[in-house]
Order: sequence, then structure tokens, then C-alpha cells
Amino acid sequence: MNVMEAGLYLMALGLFGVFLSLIVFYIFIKLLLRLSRGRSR
Amino acid sequence: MTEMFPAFIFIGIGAMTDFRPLFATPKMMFFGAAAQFGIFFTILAVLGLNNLFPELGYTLKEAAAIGIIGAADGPTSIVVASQFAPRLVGPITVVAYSYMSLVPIIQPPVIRLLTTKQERRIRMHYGEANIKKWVMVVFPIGITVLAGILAPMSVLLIGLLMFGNLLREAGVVNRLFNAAQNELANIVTLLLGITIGATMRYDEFLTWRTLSILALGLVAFIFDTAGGVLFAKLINLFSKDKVNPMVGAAGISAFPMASRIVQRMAKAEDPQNFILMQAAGANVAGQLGSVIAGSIILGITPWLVTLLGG
Repeated sequence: MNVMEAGLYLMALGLFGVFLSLIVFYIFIKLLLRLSRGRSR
Repeated sequence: MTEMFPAFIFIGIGAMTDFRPLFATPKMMFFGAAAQFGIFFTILAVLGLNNLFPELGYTLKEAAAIGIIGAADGPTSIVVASQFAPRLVGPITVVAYSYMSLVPIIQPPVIRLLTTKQERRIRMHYGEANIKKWVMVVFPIGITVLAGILAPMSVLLIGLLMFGNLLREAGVVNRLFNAAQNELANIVTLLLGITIGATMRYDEFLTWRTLSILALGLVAFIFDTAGGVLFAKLINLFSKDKVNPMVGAAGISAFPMASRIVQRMAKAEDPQNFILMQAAGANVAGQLGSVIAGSIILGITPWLVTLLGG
């Protein structure tokens, strides 16, 4: 593996990791909103 | 000590940040991820520049430290640079903070280039969410736990960002909350500036490398903006509720500057268009995204360096 390939790996894994993390945060926010609506009923 | 200052600043940022706009429009979270594109593009650009000018001699770790300027987040840039490129902490910090304050000059031309007048006029519905207090208290605790599982290295920064936010939302420690967002943030910023400034010896600072970092930092901010805007346009291809693509540009971490610029541009096209709160949602998501990106880079790069053979 040369350094440019390593850079491409870093880009692919990095963007995947950021999107995955923020999708999990998104689901967490949705869950909190749903729970709060459920408790108010 | 250089690593503790950014952590303290994050307590102040957390205390200043209101995550409610993100709760009102949770899908803005995705723009906080898309607008980190500039970080990774810049890492490739550094490595490409290295091929053209081998005398620059950037290693993969140094490339990663320069790329993180695209996080548009001073503390994250300092943490990554101090671990991967201690000699470049000065130039990287100066460039990161300079371009953060130049966001009003950098972003508008890029946004205009990538959007049509009609797209800039898209109105978005903003439903004022009535968010309960317990939700806002559980949020910072939950995010810290999730970040610890997903990207363990982010816990120092995300944890303290969320600790600052917990001080704000708890509502029972007003003195600590006020101290965190005023005195602590101001004093640490002052000390950090002096400490970083002291590392900038003339023989290490006045070099071609510093000039190249200045150019690459600009590349990072341009491609952050482009990443966010183009991702919003991509979402519009599949979504019924159209998103104003300018909101994507607010996904960078520079809070609240980026969201204000987006609102100003929207107002210039249509005086009745208000997308400030959606942009603020993307902006605070960008703060989470930039710290996560920084910690992923901290985790993956040493592994790739090992694969490269040291």
C-alpha cells in the first residue's frame, strides 16, 4: 500500500465513521422525542 | 497542557450551545456529517502536493493534522495537531482560527457557484418543538455514552462539550454555567493563544510549509462547504420536503457564523425566507461531526501508518 492509497482508506473509513456516528445520534434524538411525546399522553 | 486547554474550551462551547434547533429538525444531523468532507479531501490534497513537491516532506500523520483544519473547530485542530504534528501546531492553529473568522468571505461564493437562484429561495418549514427539560438533560449524557462506544477517542472532547451543555440544561448550577461560558472560555482562550504563540519560533514558522498549510486550509473550508451543499442537493433528489441547499453549508462547525451567513444569503434572495433555525441545527450537528471526525482520524491514522511500514 502506498501513501495515496492510505489517504483514500482514511477518507473512506473517516466519512463512513462520521456518517455512522451521526446516524446513531439522529436515531437517539428521534427516540428521545418519541419517548417524551409518549410520556406526555 | 496544550491538550487540556482545548478540553476546557469545549466546556465553554458546550455551555454556549443550544441543541434545541437540532431537536426541531433532526435530519439536519446529516449535514453535520457531509460538511466534514473537506477534512478528508484536504488530506488527499496534502498527499498529492507531496508528490508534486517532495521537498515539503509531509507524512501521513502531518497530512491528517493539516486536513483537520477543515473541522472548522480550533480545539479539535489543536488536539489532533499536538498528537500528530507537534511542530505544526502553531501554523495549523493560526490557519484554522483565521479561516473560521473568514467564513463570511469564503462560503458565499462557493454556495452561489453550486446553487441556482431558485434553490436559494427554497423555503423550509420549521416546527417549533416543545422539548421537555428531561430530554435536554438526558441528551448530553446519552451522546457522551454513544460517542464513547462509537469513537472512544472522542470522549475527551465530546464528553466535556456535553458536560458544559449539561451545566446549561440542568438549570441548577447557574454560577458554574455562567463561569463556563464566560470566565473559563475567555481565560482559557487567552492562555491557549499565548501558549500556541510561544511555539511559533521564526525558523519553524517562516517556511514554505506554513504557506502551503495556509493554501490547504482554504481548500478544506471550500470543500467542506461544497460537501454540505452538494449533499443537500442529493437529498432533494429523493425527498418530498425540499431542503434549501444552503443549509448544507452550515454543517461546518463554525458556530454561529455559518448559520448567520446562510440566513443572510437566504434573506437577500427572498426577504420572507427564514432558515436560520434549520441552519443552526446543521451548525450544532457540525460541532458533533467535527469532533467525531477528529477522533476517527486519531484512531485510524496510526493503524494506516503501521500498514505503510512505520
